[in-house]
Amino acid sequence: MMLEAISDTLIQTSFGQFIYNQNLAFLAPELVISLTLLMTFALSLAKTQVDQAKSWGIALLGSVVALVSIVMHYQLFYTGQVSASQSVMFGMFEADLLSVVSRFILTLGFILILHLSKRFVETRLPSQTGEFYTLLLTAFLGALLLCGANDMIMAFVALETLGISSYILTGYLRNNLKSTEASLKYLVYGGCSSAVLLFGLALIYGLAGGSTSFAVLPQALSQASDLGAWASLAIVMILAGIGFKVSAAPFHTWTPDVYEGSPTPITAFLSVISKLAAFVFAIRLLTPFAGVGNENVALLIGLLAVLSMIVGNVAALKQTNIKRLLGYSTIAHAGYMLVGLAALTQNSLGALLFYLATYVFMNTGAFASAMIGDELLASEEISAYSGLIKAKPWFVFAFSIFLLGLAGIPISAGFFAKFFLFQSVVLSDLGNLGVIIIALLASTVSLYYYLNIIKVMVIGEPSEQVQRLIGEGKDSAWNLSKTLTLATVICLIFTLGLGIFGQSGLLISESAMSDHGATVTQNLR
Amino acid sequence: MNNLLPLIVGFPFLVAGVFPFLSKAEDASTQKGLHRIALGASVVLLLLTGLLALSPEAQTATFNLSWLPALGINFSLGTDGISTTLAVLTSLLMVLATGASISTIEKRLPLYYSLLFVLIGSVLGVFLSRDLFLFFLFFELELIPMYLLISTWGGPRREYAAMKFVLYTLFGSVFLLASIIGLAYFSQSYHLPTETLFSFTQLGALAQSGYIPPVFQLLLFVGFFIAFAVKLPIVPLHTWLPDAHVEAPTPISMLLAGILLKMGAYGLLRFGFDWFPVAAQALAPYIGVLAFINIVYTGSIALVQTDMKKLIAYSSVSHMGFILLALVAMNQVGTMAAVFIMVSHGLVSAALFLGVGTLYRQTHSREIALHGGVAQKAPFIFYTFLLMSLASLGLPLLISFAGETLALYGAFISESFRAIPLGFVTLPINIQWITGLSALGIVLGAAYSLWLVKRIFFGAVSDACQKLEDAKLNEVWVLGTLAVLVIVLGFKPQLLTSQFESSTQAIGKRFEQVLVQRDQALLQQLQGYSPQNGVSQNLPMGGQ
Repeated sequence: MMLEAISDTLIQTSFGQFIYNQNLAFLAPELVISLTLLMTFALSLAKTQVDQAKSWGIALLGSVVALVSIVMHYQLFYTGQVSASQSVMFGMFEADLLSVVSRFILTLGFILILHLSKRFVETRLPSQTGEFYTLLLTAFLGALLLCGANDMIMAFVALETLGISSYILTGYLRNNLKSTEASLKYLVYGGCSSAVLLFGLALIYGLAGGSTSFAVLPQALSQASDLGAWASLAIVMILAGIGFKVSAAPFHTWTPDVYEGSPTPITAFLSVISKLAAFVFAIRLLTPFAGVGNENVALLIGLLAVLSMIVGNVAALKQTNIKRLLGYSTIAHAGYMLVGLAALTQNSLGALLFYLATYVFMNTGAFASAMIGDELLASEEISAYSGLIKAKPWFVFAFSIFLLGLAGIPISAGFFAKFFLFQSVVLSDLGNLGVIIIALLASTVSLYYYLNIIKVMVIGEPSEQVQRLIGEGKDSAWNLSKTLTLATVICLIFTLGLGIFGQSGLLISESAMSDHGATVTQNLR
Repeated sequence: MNNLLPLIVGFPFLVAGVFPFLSKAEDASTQKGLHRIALGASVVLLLLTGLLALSPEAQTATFNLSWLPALGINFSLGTDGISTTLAVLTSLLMVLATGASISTIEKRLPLYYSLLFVLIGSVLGVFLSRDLFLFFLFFELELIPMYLLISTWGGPRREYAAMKFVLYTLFGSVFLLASIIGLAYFSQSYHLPTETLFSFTQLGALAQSGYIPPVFQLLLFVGFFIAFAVKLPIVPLHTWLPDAHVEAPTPISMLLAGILLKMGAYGLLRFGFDWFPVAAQALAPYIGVLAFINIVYTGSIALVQTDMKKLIAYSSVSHMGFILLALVAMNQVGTMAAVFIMVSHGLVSAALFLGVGTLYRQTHSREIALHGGVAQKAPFIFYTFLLMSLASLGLPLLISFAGETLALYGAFISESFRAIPLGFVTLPINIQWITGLSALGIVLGAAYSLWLVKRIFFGAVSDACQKLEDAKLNEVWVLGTLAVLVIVLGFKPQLLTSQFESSTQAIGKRFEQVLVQRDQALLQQLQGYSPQNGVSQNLPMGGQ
C-alpha cells in the first residue's frame, strides 16, 4: 500500500512523468550499473586497502542486480505484459528482445570477468582496486548501452564510453612496458577508427535526411533507388570502425600486441564484451541495408570475413605465447561471425547471436585457463605447459574442452554454434556455400594450433615448472583463486551444455532477431 | 523403439567416464586390474551388440529421441543388415584390441582406456546413426581420441603422423559438412518436414528421388566422395594412412585398419552411392580408374617396402581398392562383396598387425631385413601369420576369397560403364577391362604377402631374433580367435552374408534400376522413339 502510494505520488511529479513517458524503467540495468560505479568510485577514495577490496563485492552485486532486472524484463516480454519493442529516451535506446538477450549474455560474461579479476587485482594492483572496478564498470556500461543504441549519437557515445575506459584499463600495469605499449597502441588505433566511424555516420546522417535515428534508415534507403558512391563510402567507413572493434582483418593489427600486453582479465573483457557489443551495434546499423544494396554490403563484410579467417588462423600457427595465440584466434572467430553477419537474414543473425553466446563462455574459459596457467607456472609460454596433465589433470581437461570448443570439435558448444551458423548461412542462399567451404578449411587449419596446446599438455615431457609442481604434490602452498575456479567451472558447464541443450538458447536468439527484423525492415528475410 | 541401441552407443562413453577416476599407479597388479576391467567392459559391449544381432529385429531396430526438434536434429539410431554387421565387427575388434593391449600398453592406462572407449563409442555411433547431424557429430568426435592415442603411445614419429591423420580427416569433413548442409538446403526448399530435417529416410528419399538438379547431385556426391575417400583411403588422399599405421601402437593399428577405414567404406556406400546413384554412375568410369590405381599402385608400393607395418598398411589400401571396385560395379553382387570385404579385411588386417606387433614388441624393429628365421623361434606366430597372409592373398576356403572373388565377379558382370569419356576423347575401356587389370592386384597380393612371410619367418635366425619368444597368452587367444573366424567364415561365408544379404540386395536393386533406366534412355535417344507410345519425338537431350 505504502509503496503504491509513493509510486503514485512520484508519477505525478514532472520527473516521474518523464520517467514514465520515456520508458526509463527499461534502462534499469544501466541505471543500476551507473549507481554501482558511483559507489566504487567513492570507495576508490578510501585510504585502506581493506575498504578498497569491498569494491569487488559491490561491482558483483550491481551486475547481479542488473542481470535480475534483465531477466525480469524478459519475463515481461514472455508473459506478454509489454510489447516486444519499447522506445526509450526519445527513441535513443531500443529496449527490444535483441537488446534484452544481448545484454543478458553481456552481463553474464561481465560477471565471469569480475571473477577473473578478483585475485589479479588483489595481488597486482592492491592500491587501485576501486579505480580499476570503476573503470571496468564504466566500460561495461558503455557496452550495455551499445546493445540497445538506436541512434547514431547514442551509439557513438556508448562506443566511446566503452573505448576510452578500455584504453586506460589496457595500460593498468604501469610498470610493465608491454602493458604501456598495449595502451598506447590501442588508444591511437581506437582514436583513428572512431574518427573514421564518425565520418561514416555523418554521411549516413546526410543520407537519412538529417535524422540521427537508425529507425528512419530503412525508409530513407528504400527511397534511394540506387545507393550512390556516398553511401558506399559511408558503409566502407562504418565497416572499418566496426572491423576495428571486433578485430577483423585488415583492421586487426592492434590485437596481438594489446592482448599480450594487457592485464589478462582486460584481455578477456576486450575479446568477449567489446566484441559482443560491437556485433550487436553492427547488427542494428546494418539490418536496414538488408534487401537494399545488400550485395555490396554483403560482399564487403564477406571480404572482411574471409581475410580475418585466413589472417587469424595462419598467423596463430606460429605463436608461442598463449595470450597472443588467443588474440589471433579471436581474429579468426571474428571472421566466422562476420560470415553470419554478411548473410543478413533473420536465421543467420540469430545463429550469430547464439555463436556469440557460446563464444563468451569458450573464450572466457580459455582466458581463465590462461590465468590459472599463469598462476601455476608463472609463464605465458606454451612450452611451459608441457606435461601439465601429470600435475593437474582436471585443469588440462577443462582447458582442452575450451580449446576444442574454439576449434569447433564436438561435443562442445563450439561445434553446434559453428554448425548452426554455417547452416543458416547456406540455407539462406546456396551460393554462400563457397564462403562456408573457406570457413571450414580455415577452421581445419585452426585445429592444428589448438590441438598443439593440448598435445603439449598431454604428451609433452614435464617442463621445469611442471616438475616443480609434481614435486610439491598435494601439499603445495599454492592455492587457487576460488573465484577464478568458479568462473572456469561455470564456463565449462556452459561450453559443454550450451550445445547439447542449446535449443532454447538458439530459439531465443532467433526470435530476438525476428523481433528486431520485424521492427526495422520488412526486407530482412 | 529398441532400447539396446542407445545402450550400445552410450555404454562405451559411460566406461570412458569411469576410467579417469581409477588408480593411476603404474605397478603390475594395478595395471592387471585395469586391463581386466577394460576387457570385461568390452566383452559386455560385444554381448550387447551380439544380442542386437541375434534379436529378431536385428535389421529393423530403431530408436528415436527428439533432441533439437526446432533444428530438425534428432537423436536417432537404427540398424539394417550392414550397420549391425559393422557394429558387431567393431565390438569384436574392440575386445581383441583390448586383449592385445595387455602386453603392449604399459603407461597411463586410465587415460588410454578412456580414450579408447570414446573412440569405440563414436565409431559405433557412426555405424548406428540415422540422423545425418548425429552421424557427422560422431564422425568428428572420433578424431581427438585417435589423435591422442597415436601421439601418446605411438612410435618415434608419432606426433607428425597423428597430426597428419587429423588434418587429412578434417579436410575431408569440410566437404562432408558442405554436402550435408547443401542437402539440408534442398530439403528445406522442397518444404519437407523440418522436424526431421536430417533424418536418413527423409534425406535419402529426397536424394534418390531425382528432384535435386543433376548438377547439384553431382556436387553433393563429390562432397561425400572426397570426405570418405580420405577415410577409405583412395589414392591420392591416402598418404596419411601409412604414417598413422606405422606410428600407432599395435592395438590402435588393429582398430585403425579393422574398423576406422570401414567408416569410409560405409559412408561411401550409404551416402555416396546409395543416395546419389545417378551421379555415381555418371562418375563411375573415373572412380573405376581410381579403384584400379588403388589396387595396383599401392599393391606395387607394398612390394618394395622394407618396413613390415608399412607393407601391411599399403596392402590395406590395396584391399580398399577392391571395395571401391565392388561399389563401382553398382549391382547386387558388388554391393554384397563390398560389405563382405569390409568384414574380412577387418579381421585379417587386425591379425596381421597384431602378428607384426608381437615381433616389434620383442625386437623393437619393424625392418624386414633385421628379421629372419622367426618360424623356428616362434611357431605360433608363424602359423597364424602364415594363415592370415594366405587369407589376405585370397586363398580359397579362407575368408577373403569369397569377398574378393565376389568383387571381381560383380565388377565383371557389371554394366556400370562401357567407356571412359575424357572430354575430347572417349577411351573404349569398359568396366570389364578395369576388372581384368585389377585382378593383377591378387597376384601382387600373393607376391608381397608370401615374400614377406619368406623374409621374416624362413632362413637363418637373424641376430635380432635370437632371443625371440613365442606369443604371450593374451596374444595367443586374440590371434586364435581371429584364426578360427577366418577359417570358419571362409568355409561357410553364408554365416556372414545372411546377416546383411537383404540390405545389400535392396541397395543393389536400386543401382541396377538406375543402370537400366540409363540404358533405356540411351536406347530411346538412339532410336528416336519412345517405347510407350511408339510415336517419334524429339527428346530433350543435350548435345543433339
